[in-house]
Amino acid sequence: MAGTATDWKTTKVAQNAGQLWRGLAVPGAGARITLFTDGTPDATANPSAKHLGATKAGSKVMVKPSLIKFNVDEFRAPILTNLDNMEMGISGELVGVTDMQLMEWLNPGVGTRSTAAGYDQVTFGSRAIVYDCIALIFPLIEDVTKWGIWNIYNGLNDSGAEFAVARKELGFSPFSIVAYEVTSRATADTLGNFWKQI
Amino acid sequence: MGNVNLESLRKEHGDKAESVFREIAKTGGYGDIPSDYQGGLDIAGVLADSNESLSSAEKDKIAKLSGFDRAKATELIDAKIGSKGTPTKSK
Repeated sequence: MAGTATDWKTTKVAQNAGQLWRGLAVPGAGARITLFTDGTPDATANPSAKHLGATKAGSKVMVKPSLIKFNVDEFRAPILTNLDNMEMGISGELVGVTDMQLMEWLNPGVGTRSTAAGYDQVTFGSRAIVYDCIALIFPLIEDVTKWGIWNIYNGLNDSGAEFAVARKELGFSPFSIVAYEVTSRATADTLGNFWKQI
Repeated sequence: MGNVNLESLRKEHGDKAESVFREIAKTGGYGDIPSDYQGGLDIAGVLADSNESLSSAEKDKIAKLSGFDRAKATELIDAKIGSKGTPTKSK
């Protein structure tokens, strides 16, 4: 008889500056977004990719299933569970608040950007909602030549825009990207993925 | 090249661009992505040889409709690390 090797996973950690990208090409079945060797989205595969810019304290990623528990009278603990809701998202605070393309993107269904000589503006009212393929890409600690990717296929920010304008404070606008399911994709692959290069 | 969107498909297919987009999206398991989504569809990943979610016939179809070469997709994707592992595509 022998013991079992421990696996503390101290190198499989996330502790690096990430890059947030939107406007990515949606990957198909069995595929992932195409990266260039520097970890940025490959420009040929993602011609509309836009970098969202710097953040106050990085980004927080989440995926959270909500499980319903079923009880019976004869037992004290639940006997069954099933999936009720699920959520997937990326959140943080962005610094580039005077970038009007960013401001438009932060306000889906509300903000419309226009620009001409002398101005670059976003007007607020209502417009069609446009979803986006978004990813957070970060270098891995376990191998700094490789990348980790948190990709939402169909998402949008539902936090709007809110930032301070002050002498002693840098204005950051919080964002919360919510993933929406892409119907008719494989059932195990409708929201997004989290993957790393190996 | 490596990406299709409505604009790029119009150059190749004219008025049929929208139906071609829908066909690529359906065959490639992309889901119901709006045809006017500016980011388009990533073609390289689905065409690469390492992708086992699509049959060779499905890849040939997408390659023909998109004008993207399968060998080039394999070179772009499989020459890099991390291209293996595929979920099953639903019909």
